Amino acid sequence: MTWVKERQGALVTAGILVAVVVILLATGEKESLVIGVITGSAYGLLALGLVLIYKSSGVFNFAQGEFGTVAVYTLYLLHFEVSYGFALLGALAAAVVFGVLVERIVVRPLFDAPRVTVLVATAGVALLSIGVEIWFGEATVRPVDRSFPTLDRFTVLGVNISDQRLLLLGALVGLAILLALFFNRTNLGLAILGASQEPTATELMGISVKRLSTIVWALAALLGGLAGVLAVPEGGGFTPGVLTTGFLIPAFTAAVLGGMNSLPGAFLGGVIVGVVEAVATSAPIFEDIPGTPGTLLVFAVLLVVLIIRPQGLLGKAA
Amino acid sequence: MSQRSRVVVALVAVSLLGMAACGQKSGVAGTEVSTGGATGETGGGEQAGGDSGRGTGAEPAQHEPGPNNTSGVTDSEIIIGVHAPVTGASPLPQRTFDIGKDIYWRFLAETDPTALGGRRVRVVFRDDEFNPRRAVQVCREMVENENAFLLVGGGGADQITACAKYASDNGVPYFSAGVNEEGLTDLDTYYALSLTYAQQAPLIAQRLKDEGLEKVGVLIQDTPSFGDYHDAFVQAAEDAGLDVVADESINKTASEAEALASIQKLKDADAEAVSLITSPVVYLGLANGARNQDYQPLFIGPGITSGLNQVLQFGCPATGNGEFFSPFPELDVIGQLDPDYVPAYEQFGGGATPDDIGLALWGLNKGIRAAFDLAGENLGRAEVMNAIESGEAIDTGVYPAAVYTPDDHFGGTGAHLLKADCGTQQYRTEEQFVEAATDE
Repeated sequence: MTWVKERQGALVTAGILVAVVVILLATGEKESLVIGVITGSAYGLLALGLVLIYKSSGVFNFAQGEFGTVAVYTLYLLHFEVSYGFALLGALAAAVVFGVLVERIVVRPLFDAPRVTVLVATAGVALLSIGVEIWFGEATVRPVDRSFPTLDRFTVLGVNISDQRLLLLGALVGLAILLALFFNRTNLGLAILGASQEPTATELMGISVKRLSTIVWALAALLGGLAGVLAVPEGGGFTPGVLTTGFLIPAFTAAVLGGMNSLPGAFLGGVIVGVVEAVATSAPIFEDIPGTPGTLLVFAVLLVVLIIRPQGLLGKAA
Repeated sequence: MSQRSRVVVALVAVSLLGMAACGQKSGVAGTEVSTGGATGETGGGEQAGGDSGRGTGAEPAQHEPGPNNTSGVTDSEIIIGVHAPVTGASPLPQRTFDIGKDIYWRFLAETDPTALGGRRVRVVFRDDEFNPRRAVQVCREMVENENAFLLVGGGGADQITACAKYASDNGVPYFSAGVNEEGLTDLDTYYALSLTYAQQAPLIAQRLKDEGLEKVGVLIQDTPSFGDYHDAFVQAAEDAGLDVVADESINKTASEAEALASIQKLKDADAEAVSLITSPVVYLGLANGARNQDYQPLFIGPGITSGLNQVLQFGCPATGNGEFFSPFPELDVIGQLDPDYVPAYEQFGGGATPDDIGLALWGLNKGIRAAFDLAGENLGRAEVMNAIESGEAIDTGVYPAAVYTPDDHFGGTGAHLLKADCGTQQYRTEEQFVEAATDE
């Protein structure tokens, strides 16, 4: 009984998801289901970074998308000079360096400031980054290649799945599990959680909270960078601020939907946002909704979830 | 709050959202722009020349000179204000726009110093950020602060519509390549220098018929501006005996999931061609989505920006199946149509390679020069508009000729058909000066 009670949220969520999947399959929206999963994985990967920083410091990081955009720009520029593999590594390294710089220059000086101040500061970082990207490279579309060229590795319910998508989905699932294990099973992960809840006690234990902060931001930047280099090439091209303008709000929604302190929740939230967007575009019942039925429906779902379960689908109440 | 209460509140919230959505008229969201300021006031602000009765049902009146009729014109200079998106959701490249915006005027000043009564044309440019509200703001700045004599829209239908409304309210002549008709039909001072999207619909349907394609999908960006094209195309397709198998709209900032879902519906409907009207960025996303799904329909539509070579440079091979009707031809034939363009670009372009954005602006500026010539040396806003509406053709040799009357400012008569060529990453001019059917 205790086991069931402890996992009530996850079980209810699983039940609802199974029901939704059955309804989608029964109503002929099977393709939307697949499209939603493969496109929502990009939101999920970005959401993982958001949850990581929120979980460790209570900050909503509006610069998370720019970690990805910096990686995409670096990939684009380096690919003229070196092979794709090295360009990819360079792109991820650039994202990590950027994340560390943001932590050292912007976040650390605000360590004791109210969290809302740090939130505004990260929004400032995002806007400044987009401005710099436009300044140096114009607001024009640029092409960026995929890691793998195969477009139809599998066909699932009538939708082609490319190797790049598989990589993105695999990365998301793998990282969500690894990070959950990291926070639950490793000393460093527990130290990060401890620092977020009791920074003074953590310092007294001889652990440098500021050093932990740097590690978390570097890790979050790596996740943002991965989201950028894996998701953006599927769209064929990018413009300045591509992840901030195109992915950040859905990723935030995914993170809140899944539970801001749940890493598997970020994965789940991303997939749900993707599926809802795809269904809202595809299902005849929504075709008379003007403008952005996807956004409307996503926020309706978010509202319902938050009213019923304020901590998110897989989140734990504070 | 108890669990039961939460469920009730949630259901009420969703119901309200649903009702709000169902109650909206299609395309309402996000594009209603107030021009503010001197709107509708007489004698105030920049009210200059526009006082005609177009759209009132009475005999169209001549434009009367207002207090700012010659604002922006001196004995030595004419100031033109140009706006276009070089940042925002669907930007044009700023550098090429900066280079191309006044090459024609610099060429004219050098080769024919006595043209326009010896006046030089100075072009003021503002970025409208792909945002109609911002477009109105920059147009107001150009007219009120920079004394622009007339305004030119370089791209982006919603921004052109918003700024043209401001221009009309303030008596300022406004020129653009033809876009939508909705929102522009009743504007006294707006002039389309080429066929509108709706006027191109029969050409597109005919082209599809000629190509032997029967099953056609329609995919239109969800903005009020494009409603007229949608209706015109569906009618033209019906007239041409085509089968419209899918009829979709897409958000102007569509996510990947939305783009992919739209493409999947077109694929499921077995559409052999897609009549498309979206921003280039959305087109790139759709074309990539189609390619990923092993679906290669012919993408066809009216194209000012989707028919630019940049779409191929960034979008090939996904955009390799594109055909667009365009007001301007491509670089492959411009040497025959206007031998001055390439040398002028090379001379005044600061070493840049001639491109089709420069070509679009070159043709547009040639059209404006022709309008100035019709007005004669005594340049005023009212004089220019009255001259344009005289029925004399404005023929640049680049854009197809345009003819205006007091009650018809959509004067385009034809278009060029451009076909994508991913081998060269440039559009090829498949047909030149394709004529639109004239009204009986």
